[in-house]
Amino acid sequence: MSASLPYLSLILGVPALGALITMLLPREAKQAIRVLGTVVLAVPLVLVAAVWAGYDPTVPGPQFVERYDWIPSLGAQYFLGVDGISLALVALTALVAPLAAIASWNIEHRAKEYWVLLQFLVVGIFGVFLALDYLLFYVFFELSLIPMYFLIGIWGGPRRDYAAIKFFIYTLVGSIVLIVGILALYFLTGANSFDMIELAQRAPAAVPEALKVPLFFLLLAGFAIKTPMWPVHTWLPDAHVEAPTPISVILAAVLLKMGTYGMMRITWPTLPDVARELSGVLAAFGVIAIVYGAFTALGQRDFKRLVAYSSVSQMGFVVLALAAAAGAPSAGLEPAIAASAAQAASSAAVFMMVAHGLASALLFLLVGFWYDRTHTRDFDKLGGMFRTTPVGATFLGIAAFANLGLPGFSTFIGEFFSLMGTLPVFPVAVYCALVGLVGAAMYNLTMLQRVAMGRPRPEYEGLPDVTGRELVTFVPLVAGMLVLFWYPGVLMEILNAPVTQFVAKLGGM
Amino acid sequence: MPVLRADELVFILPEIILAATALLVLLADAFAGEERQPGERRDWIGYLAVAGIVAAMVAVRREPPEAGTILAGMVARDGFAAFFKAVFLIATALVALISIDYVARRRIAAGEYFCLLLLATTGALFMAGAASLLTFYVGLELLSLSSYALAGLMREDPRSQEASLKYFLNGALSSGILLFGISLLYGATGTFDLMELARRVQELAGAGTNAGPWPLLVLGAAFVIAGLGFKAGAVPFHLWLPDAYQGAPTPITAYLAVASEGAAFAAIVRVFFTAFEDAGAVWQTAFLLLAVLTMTVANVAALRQVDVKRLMAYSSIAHAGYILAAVGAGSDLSRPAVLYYVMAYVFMNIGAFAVITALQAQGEGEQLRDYAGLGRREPVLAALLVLFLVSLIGLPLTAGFMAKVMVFQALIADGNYWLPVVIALNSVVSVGYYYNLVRYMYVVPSEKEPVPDAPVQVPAPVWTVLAVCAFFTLALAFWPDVFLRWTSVSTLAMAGF
Repeated sequence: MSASLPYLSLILGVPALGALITMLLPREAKQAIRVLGTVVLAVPLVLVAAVWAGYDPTVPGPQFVERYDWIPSLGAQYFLGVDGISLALVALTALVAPLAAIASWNIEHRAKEYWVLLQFLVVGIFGVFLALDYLLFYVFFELSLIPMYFLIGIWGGPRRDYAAIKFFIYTLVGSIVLIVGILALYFLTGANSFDMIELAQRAPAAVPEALKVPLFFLLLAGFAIKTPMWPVHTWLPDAHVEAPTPISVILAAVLLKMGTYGMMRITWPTLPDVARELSGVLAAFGVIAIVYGAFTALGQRDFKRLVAYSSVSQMGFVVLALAAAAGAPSAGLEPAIAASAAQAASSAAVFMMVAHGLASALLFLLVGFWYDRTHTRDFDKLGGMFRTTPVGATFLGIAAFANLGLPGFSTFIGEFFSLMGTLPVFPVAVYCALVGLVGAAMYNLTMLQRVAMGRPRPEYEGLPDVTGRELVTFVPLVAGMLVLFWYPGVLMEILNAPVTQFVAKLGGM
Repeated sequence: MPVLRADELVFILPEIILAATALLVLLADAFAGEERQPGERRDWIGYLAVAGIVAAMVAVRREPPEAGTILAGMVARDGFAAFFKAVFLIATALVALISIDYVARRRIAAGEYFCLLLLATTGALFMAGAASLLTFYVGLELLSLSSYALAGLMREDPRSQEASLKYFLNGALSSGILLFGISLLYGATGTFDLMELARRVQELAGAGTNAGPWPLLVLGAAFVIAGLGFKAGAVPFHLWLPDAYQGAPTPITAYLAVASEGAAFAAIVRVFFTAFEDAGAVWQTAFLLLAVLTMTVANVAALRQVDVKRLMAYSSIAHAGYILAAVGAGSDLSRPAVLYYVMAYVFMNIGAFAVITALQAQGEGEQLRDYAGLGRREPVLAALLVLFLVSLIGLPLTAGFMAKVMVFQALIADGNYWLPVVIALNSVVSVGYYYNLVRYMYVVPSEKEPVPDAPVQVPAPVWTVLAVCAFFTLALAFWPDVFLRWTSVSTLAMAGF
C-alpha cells in the first residue's frame, strides 16, 4: 500500500493548477475554459479511485501520509492523510465536483472568473478533508469561503448581495473563533505542533478543567455554523436560494459536511469529556434541527427553499448521531451495548453525510433543471411535470423518495442506523426525531405533488425534457444512492477501523 | 567628551544619506527653475528621492557587532533599530513610487513634496534608533512637522488645508503632552537615557510602589502613553486622524498610516520594553484597555464611512488597536508580534493605497460608489485590491492572517484568552467595511452601465509597488519563517536586554 505517487497532493494540485491555467486563458475562450475545468475536476475522481483501491481498511490511522515542514518555528506542517472517514467525504467531493462542473456549462456571464473560483473552491474543500495539521486545515477551511462569496455574490439571484455577505459573515464568525480555539489548544498542550492527532491525544490531560468547556465551544462554533446547526442555520436558505445551481449543489453536498467532519475530526476527539457532558444538549439541538427543518420545509412556497430546509433537517440526523456517540459511555448502558451503539451511530453519521450529499445534489440539480426552463421556483407556478417533462419528473420522484428515507436508497441506511445507534442512549430524542421523519415524508411528497403532478400547465407545453448533459449529472447520483443501499459494505468496510478508534477515544477510559 | 567618530557615524549613515538627499532634492528643484508650462512633469525628482532611499537602505547595517549605544548614549546600535529602519525605508520607497504620478497629475510641487517626505523619514529613523528620550523626541518632531506640511501640500484643496491645520494643532498638543511626560520622568529619575531609566525603575519597583518618586514616574509614563497614543492613533486620542487622513494627498495618507504609526510603535516598544520592563504590570493593563477601545471604536465607526480615505483612516486606527494588544500582551512573543504586524501592515496597506492612489490620481475613486464595476473594468487592479483587503481582514494565506496569529500567540502565551476573542470579533466587524469595497467592485452594478471602458492609467512605478506588495503579502504567509526569524533576532538584539 505504499504510495508511489503523492496522490493526495495531486488531488489538491490538479484543480489548483487548473485554476491557474484558466487565469491565463483569454476570456473569450469560454469553450476551452469549460472543457479544461471539467477535465480538471474529473481527474481527482480517478485519483480517489486509486487511493480507495490502495487503502487498507484494517489500519485505523491515516494513510497515504505526506508530511513536510512548513513553518518550523511554529511547528506547522504540510501534513496530509486519509482515513476511512475522510476518504468517504473526499470521494463524495470527487464525485460531486465534476457533476457541478458539467452543470456549469450554461454559465455565460463572466465564465472565466466563474471557473477559476469554482476550481479554487474545490481545492479548499478537498484540503479540509485531507489536512491533518490544524493550521493547514484552517487555511483550507477559509480558502473555501472566499470563492463561495464571489460565486454567490456575482452569479447569484436577485438578492445575491445580501445572501453572499450573510453567508460570509456567519461563516467567518465561526472560523475566526475556531482559530482562537486552535491557538489556545496549541499553547495549552505546549506541543509546539499543530498535528491534529498529537494535539487530540494531549488535550484531555493538558487542558485545565476550567477551560475545557469554553475551548469546546471555540472549537465547535465554526463547525456548528457550517453544518448548520439550529439556530445558526439562517444563512443557509438565503445562500441556497440565491446561489447558482452548481454552487448550491456543492454547498449542500459537500460544504456542509465540512462542519460535521470538523466535529468528528477535531471537536469530539479533542475534548471527549466535554462532548459527553454536553451530549444531551447537542442531541437536543440535533432533534430541533430535524423537526424544525422538516416542518419549515413543509411551509415553503419556493422549491429551492424547501430543499434548503430539508438540508437543515437531514444534517440534524448527523448531529444527533454524533451526540449519541459521545453520550453512549455515560448513558448507564452495559459497556458492550454502549460501544456498539456508539459504533453504529458514528458510522451512520458518516454514512448519512454521504447519503445526504448524493440526495441533496440531485434535488438541487432538479431545481435548476426546472428553473432553467420555466424561470420560476414558485410551486404555484409549477405543476404537471410528469406530463410535460416525464424524465425529469421521474428523477424528482426518485430524489423525493430517496430523501424521505425510503428503503432502496442510501438515506434510509443513514437515518435508520443514526436512530438505531441513538435509541439506547437518547430514546426520547429518537421519538421526537420520528416526528421529523413524518415531516420529511410530508414535505418530500408535497414537493413531488406540487411540481410533478396535477394538470399540465399550458404555458409549459413543449418544454424540452432532460438533455444528455443533464442526464450525465443525474445518473451517477442515483447510481450512488442505489449502490450504497444494496452494498453498504462498500462504505462501511473502510469506516470500520477509524470509527472503532473514534469510539474508543470517546470512551475516555 | 564624545566626539563624532567615523566608526560610530556608520550606524547613522542611512539618516545622513536621507537628509542629504532631501537637501539635494530641494536644491535640484530650485535650480530647475519654476514650472512654467502647465503640463511640465518633474518625475525625475521622485526618482532621485527613490535613489536616495535605496542608498540609505543599502547603508542600514543589519548585523551590528553587538547591541549598544553610540554618540554618547543618544542613539542605539542594535538589530531592533536596523529592523525598523529597513521597514520605514521600504515603506517610504513604496510611497515615493506611488507618489510620482499622483504628484504630477494633482499639481503638487514635487521638490517640496519629496524633500519633506525624506525629512519625515529621517525623523522616523531616528525614532527607531533612539536610546534617549531626547533623541526620540527630536526624531518625533522632525517626523511630525514634516507630516503637517505634507498633509497640506494640495494648496488649492480646502480639505487639505483643513487636514494640515487640524493635524498641526492636535499634533502640537500631543507633543506638549509627550514632552511634559518626559519632563516628569526626568524629574522622577534624573535621566533621559533609557538604560539608566531602566535601572532607576528597577530600583524604584524594588523599593515598593509608594516609595518617593514612584507616583511621579507612573504619571510621567501615563503622559508618554497619551502622547504616543496620539501619534499611533489610539482611541480616545484619535479624533484628529480621520480628518487629517482624508484631506492629505493620498500617498501621504498611506505614509502616515504605515510610517508615522509605525514609528510611534517603534518608540512605544523601545521605551516600554527597555525602560519600564520592571513595571510591566502597570502599563500592560493600560495598553490592553487602549487596544480594546481602539479597535472596537474604529471598526464600528468605519462601518458608516462612504469616503474611501476616511474608511482607510479608521482601518489604520483599528490596526493600531491590534498592535497595541500585542504590546500589552507582555509575553516574550510580544515584541516579535509587533514587528511582524508592522511589517505586514506596510505591505498590505500600501498595496491597497497603491490601487486607491492610481484611481484618485485621475480624480475618481474617492467615494465607495466610484468603485462600482471596477471588477469588470480593471480585473487585475480589482483582484489585487481584494487580496490586500483580505489581508487587512486577516484571512489565511495572507500576511494579515499570520500577523494576527502572532498577536494571538503573544496574548495566549500570557494566558490572555479574552482579548483574542475580542480581536476575532473585531475582525468580523471589519469585514463589514472592507468587504463593502469588494461588494462595490464586484456585486453592485456601476451607475455608468454599460461599464465605461476608459481604463485606469496605472504607470510603471505603481505596477512595481503593486507587484512588490502583492508578493510580500503572500510571502509573509507562505514562508513566514524567514520573516519570523528576522523579527525574533531583531528583538533579541535590542540594546539594554
